[in-house]
Amino acid sequence: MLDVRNLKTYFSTDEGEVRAVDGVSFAIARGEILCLVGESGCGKSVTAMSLLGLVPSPPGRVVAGEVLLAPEQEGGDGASALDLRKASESELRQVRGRRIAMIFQDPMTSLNPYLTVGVQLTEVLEVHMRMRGEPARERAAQMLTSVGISDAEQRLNDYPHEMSGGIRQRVMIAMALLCEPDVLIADEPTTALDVTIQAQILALIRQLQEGTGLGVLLITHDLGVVANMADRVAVMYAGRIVEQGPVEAIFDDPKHPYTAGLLRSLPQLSGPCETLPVIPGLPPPAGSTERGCSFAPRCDRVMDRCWQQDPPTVRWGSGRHVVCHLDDIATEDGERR
Amino acid sequence: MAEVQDNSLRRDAWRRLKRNRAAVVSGCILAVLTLCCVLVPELSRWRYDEANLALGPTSPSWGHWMGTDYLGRDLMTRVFFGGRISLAVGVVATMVSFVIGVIYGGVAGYFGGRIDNLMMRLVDVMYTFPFLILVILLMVFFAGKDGAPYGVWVSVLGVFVADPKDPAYFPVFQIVFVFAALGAISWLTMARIVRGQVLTLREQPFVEAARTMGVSHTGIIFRHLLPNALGPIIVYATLTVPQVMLTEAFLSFLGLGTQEPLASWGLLASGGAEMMDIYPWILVFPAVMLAATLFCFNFLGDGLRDALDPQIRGGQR
Amino acid sequence: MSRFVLRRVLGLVPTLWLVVTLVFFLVRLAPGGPFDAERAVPPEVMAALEAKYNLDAPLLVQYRDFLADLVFRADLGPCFKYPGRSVREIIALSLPVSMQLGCLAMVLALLVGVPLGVVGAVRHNRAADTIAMSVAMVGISVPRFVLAPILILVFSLTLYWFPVALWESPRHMVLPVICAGLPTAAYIARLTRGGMLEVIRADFIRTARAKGLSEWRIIWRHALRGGLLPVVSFLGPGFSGLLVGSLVVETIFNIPGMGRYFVEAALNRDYGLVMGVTLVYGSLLMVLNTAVDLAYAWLDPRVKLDG
Ligand SMILES: Nc1ncnc2c1ncn2[C@@H]1O[C@H](COP(=O)(O)OP(=O)(O)O)[C@@H](O)[C@H]1O
Ligand SMILES: [Mg+2]
Repeated sequence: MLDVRNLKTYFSTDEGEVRAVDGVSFAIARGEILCLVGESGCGKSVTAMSLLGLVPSPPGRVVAGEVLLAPEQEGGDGASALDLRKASESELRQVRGRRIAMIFQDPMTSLNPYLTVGVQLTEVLEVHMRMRGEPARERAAQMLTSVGISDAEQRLNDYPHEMSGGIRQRVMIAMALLCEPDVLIADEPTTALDVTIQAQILALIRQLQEGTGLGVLLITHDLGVVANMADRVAVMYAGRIVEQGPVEAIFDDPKHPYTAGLLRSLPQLSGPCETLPVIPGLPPPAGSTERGCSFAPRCDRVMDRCWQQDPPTVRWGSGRHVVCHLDDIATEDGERR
Repeated sequence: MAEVQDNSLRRDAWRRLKRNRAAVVSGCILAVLTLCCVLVPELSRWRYDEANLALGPTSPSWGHWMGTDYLGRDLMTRVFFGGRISLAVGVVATMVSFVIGVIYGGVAGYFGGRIDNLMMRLVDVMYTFPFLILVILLMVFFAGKDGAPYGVWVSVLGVFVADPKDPAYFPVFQIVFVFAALGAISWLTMARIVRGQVLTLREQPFVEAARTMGVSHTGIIFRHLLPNALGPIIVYATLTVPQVMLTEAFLSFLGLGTQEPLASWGLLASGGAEMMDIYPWILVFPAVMLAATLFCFNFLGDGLRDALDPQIRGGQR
Repeated sequence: MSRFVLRRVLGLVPTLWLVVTLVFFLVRLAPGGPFDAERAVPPEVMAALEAKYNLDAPLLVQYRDFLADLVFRADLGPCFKYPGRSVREIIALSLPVSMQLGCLAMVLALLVGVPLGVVGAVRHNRAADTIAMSVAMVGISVPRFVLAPILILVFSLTLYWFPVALWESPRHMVLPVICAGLPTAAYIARLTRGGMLEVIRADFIRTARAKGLSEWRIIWRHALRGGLLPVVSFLGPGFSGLLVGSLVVETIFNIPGMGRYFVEAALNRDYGLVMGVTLVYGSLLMVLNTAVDLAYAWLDPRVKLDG
């Protein structure tokens, strides 16, 4: 559905160029949930924004890559994929909210405080579906009901500040799904919410996605969320994806030392309770590494060549790949490139 | 800890300010202008009030670089002499408003609760006062020789000089009166800003710490809170200077501010405006000086604000 | 909301009373009197004059009579300088003129200032922004009494487009309105730009972009409301600034508005007129401030009106 290849987004700042996203590739199939995990500051949000051309510019700039969006009907008559990076601003606008929708981390600030929820919902329909007035309101109310908001008709007249955080995030989800998009990008949709609300919102996303063809890019730094939601996982570190593959495979057998470290720091319900190991050190500023593997300074299995050469990509047939120098990674059926 | 962080913040702000070319140029121009205002009237061949009625108004020439005014006085001397008064009014009145505003806002913000509520209500009420009207009335009714303020002035001045009633001191009295009046009406916003800052800072751990260590109220307000709240206060003060100067010019235009034979840019410009079609230079020089100074103060204030509040510039998140 | 208005209007009364009282005693305690200028007046005529205008009564009696007249008959007393005309008449004649000037100038200021500020914010740090803000900077740095003669020189004395003075036809109004409005426009432009820049950085603008709205719609529907809030709170002080500006403009363009009367009245110690104009200005400002608060609450649904 959405195929991202070698995406690079750089920021020019006082301290020089920051390569926030530095050659990221992934694909989201129809009806699939891809989780993008990584520590905060590794470039997840910038990746998401780059997909839709929303990177604030200046200082940001998408410098390379392709963002291929499959045509609307599957197996359509030869219509080729649209590269969002080459698309014009008006083409992009037709994609945003209509084919790819996005929800953000903080539902408190992501809704316009000056407009009623109804206005903010119906204007999406107005822009993309030419739907106005009563039909639009009905459709909006219907959508609110389906994200589990009662009294939807009344709620349309409310302002965001009259709602709780959980309800607001539901409104955001309703707004994103109004036009039945093909892809939903959810950038840490539950980070700002209470734990119980988090579970509800995730269940809601799951429920809305199941059985529809909706592909989801779920961004999170919480491996618990990944375990619950993901079909596939991409692990991001300092602007690059270091490991990617089906969720079971990665959880059962993490290949990259970073992934392994992340998983070790996850509390295990079974087994004895001990202090959780943490990965020592801090992540470097995204894309500050000139040469070699950017994880090398924190890696427990670091070797000489990790400092010298960029790590190779090892791929498996299952769509899994790992970017690492370690020899034992490639021993099974992996193919070194 | 708070102090270390504060220092590096200040250094950052300074660096950002130095990169803002408009602000740096404005600062330099202001420095040069101030220097000229100090030096030119001293070094000039003419005194600011030395009339030459036979000469009358002449256009700029080698003898008089900015020409002469209606009474044949050297305009350049008068313009820079007027600059002293204009700048002094701007700075002194701002300082008056600064002192009142900081004390008032600091107390309200620090004690909070009912006191804050009451004090800020009072400010709200005063915001709707037609203050300039009151100043005009004050200037008309009390800046004269027979008003009570003059009596106070004479007795205070008597401490320093032998003959405080010397008419030569009278214009100075009027200017001091302008300082006080303008300062007294410009402190409301300053008080609000200070209060807002103090209110947020009050909750910070380092203030709590000082309080538990038994530092007195005044100690906390003046040693801990205000230095940390200084950023927005400085910005606002810098932007108050041009406003006050403009108000002084306005009062001078109405004949209520600086009085002849003294000069201020406002007075000179409003005098020049009367015959600008015939003697344009009498308007142009003081008006350009005034506008340029206000321009520079505004640019400097904007630059300071951007430097102290980097968010406005975008970029960082 | 109507409760809010009611409370605010009731709150105006004590404030106005305070202002009136302050001014009343201020002008009367000040040295000099309204008839000092007429040197030739013999003492008995002076006494007669003072008796006629109730100036010989004890101060508190004068104050009581003044308040009674004001409250029960809405009467501000006679005008000393224009014998035979009451303060009320003069205000009734001059207030509409000043209101016209002030409102037209404010409309002009908003029409010029808001778009200029929006352009500055939308094209942040580009050429259009720099130009717009430099223009605004000039606008707030040039006093009105310098702007006025320049306008007159160019448009009246050189191009002969508009009359030099007076307030008779729309053509007469052009220059005074420009002169009163432009500095305010400059202020509004700067405020609009600052407010818009703040809003444009907000998360909800990013949401609006992600929804696929056009840039124009984002500015118009989503950013402008929040961006204009600083302008709305400026309107209160802005109006009082205009009022002060109108003193200058009315004097220079010889417009028969209240501002000119006020300066004249103050210089002539025309107590009645000074009181009247102060009262009108004061109530105008307070009413406008209430209106501004209402507008603010209307624009920002999070604001609760109380107080
Ligand atoms: N507006 C910006 N200006 C400069 N650098 C930025 C900006 N936005 C993001 N970055 C850089 O991109 C990196 C990744 O940011 P982000 O994608 O927000 O991280 P996260 O993974 O937590 O979502 C940050 O470390 C920062 O250096
Ligand atoms: Mg993020």
